Amino acid sequence: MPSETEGSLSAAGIIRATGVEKVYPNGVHALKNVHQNIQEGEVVVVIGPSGSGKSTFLRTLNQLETINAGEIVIDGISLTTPGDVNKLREEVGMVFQSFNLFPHLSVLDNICLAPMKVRGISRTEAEERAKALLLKVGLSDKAASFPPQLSGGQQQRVAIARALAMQPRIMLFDEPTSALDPEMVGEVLDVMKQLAAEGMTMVVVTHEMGFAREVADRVLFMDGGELLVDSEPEVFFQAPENERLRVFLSQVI
Amino acid sequence: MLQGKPVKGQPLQMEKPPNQVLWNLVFAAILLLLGLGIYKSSQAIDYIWRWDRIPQYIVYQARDELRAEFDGTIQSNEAGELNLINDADDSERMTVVGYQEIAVSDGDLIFAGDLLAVNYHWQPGPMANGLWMTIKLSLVSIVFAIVLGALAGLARISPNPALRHLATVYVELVRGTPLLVQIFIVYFFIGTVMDLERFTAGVVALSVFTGAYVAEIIRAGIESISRGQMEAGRSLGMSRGMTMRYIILPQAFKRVLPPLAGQFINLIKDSSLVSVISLTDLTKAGREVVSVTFSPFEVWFSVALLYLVLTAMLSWLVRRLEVRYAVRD
Repeated sequence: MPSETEGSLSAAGIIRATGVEKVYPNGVHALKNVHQNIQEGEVVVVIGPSGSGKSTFLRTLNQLETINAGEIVIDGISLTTPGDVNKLREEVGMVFQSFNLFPHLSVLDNICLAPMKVRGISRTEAEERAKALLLKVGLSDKAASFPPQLSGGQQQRVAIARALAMQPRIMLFDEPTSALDPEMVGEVLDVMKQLAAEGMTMVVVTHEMGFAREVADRVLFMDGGELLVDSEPEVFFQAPENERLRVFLSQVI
Repeated sequence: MLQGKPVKGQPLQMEKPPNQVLWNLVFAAILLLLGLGIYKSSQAIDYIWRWDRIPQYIVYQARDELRAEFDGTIQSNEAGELNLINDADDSERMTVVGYQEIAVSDGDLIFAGDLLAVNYHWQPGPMANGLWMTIKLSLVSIVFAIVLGALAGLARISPNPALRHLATVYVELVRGTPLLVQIFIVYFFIGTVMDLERFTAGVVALSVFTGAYVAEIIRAGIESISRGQMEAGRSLGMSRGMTMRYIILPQAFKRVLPPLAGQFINLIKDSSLVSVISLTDLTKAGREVVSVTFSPFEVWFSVALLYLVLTAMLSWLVRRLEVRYAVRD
């Protein structure tokens, strides 16, 4: 709802998107005038039918997708002014639906690579950090394994550890559990809940309504490239005002 | 095998497996028949096979002869060593020591130019020299083809249109014209303009030709790595170049190894075409040996065998590399 979105602009958040437009080269209008203001430490869940632009919106936040109009400011740095996009991405971790682990590197090297090459820390320090993160996601015994040897849930937890190794201030999750077998969804969500409890700023695109209800500070509903609903989880699920959201919720729950 | 339910741990047999012993015997029989057919037809034509002439053109024993430089007499000293002492001036002498074959004995009268002793040593024949030229030419061309192909392959997928179009033009030009014509152009045109040696011209033609195919193989290999790998690298703050180097290329390398090996085997075989610019490679050497032995059949069969040895060695090497890189999958 526009009024609510604009009202929260008064306190400039760590992520601030104003009037974001995205048109793909094939003519698909993926984002239409999207406004969003996310505070540090907030957990925001984005929900919507496929093709609604929710993943596109997430990917614009670390510039995996460029935008055609509007402005996105992350931590005071505008993404539309030309600058070092890599610097920004160091502060924004991302977890993908298909994990995208590096299959030719061991789990430990998957986690260590970017901190060593980008942050320039030593191998010993990187490995120490990686081992601590593996302990955190419950995979200490898999440091020497290669990604193809792990289950989907384990791979996704390694991917989360890999993103965290850069010590980002924001974490983006693009349908992190959609490619998983049902019995593995829980282990990944547990790691994400723990991360939320530690105060990480998170933007999560997901179909896990339970997670949204339990962990989210705010839930957004997108459809047809528009941000239609932005509200607290109780209101979002118990008393949805938007007609399209009601239809969507009745279909998925 | 038991009929009915498949046994756990064994592949499901949809049909009866062929009898291994029987069909291997059939294979051997076919080979035997083929060999017999070739032998019979070689008997039928009016051709005298002289295989014994061939080995000396690969390696032969060269003679180092020691001949007398002056008139004199052979004398044996107390150690049993033979010396030729000049009749006119006995301070001038030649020692005949350390030879495999000695043609004179104590007390012989020797005139200048007489044979005293002979040493033999193995010497590569023209075909071995040609083989060495083919190996040198191929190895140097492979190195340049890899460099050229990697650069052109990366340029093909570069976001920069100038690089992309340049690489496309290169690949299309080279793939659209015959290698033989390219060799002529490189040698007669570019070679004349830039004053290239034959060997350099051969290397340039072969590596430019192979480089175009290597470029396409490398481009395809890089594009076969899923988009998500590049996105994952970029999302971790790595630059495009870093992601290429640490993430994409190591994975692509493994995939392009088999097609690259095929291309390099082609290069070894294509190198036979450089004989048209009078580079004495294995093929040119073969032609020269035919003209002295008048045994074309034996020579060309030997040449084919030598090429086969080279390509088989390369195949084996690449197979070993593949096994080493496949361990983790």
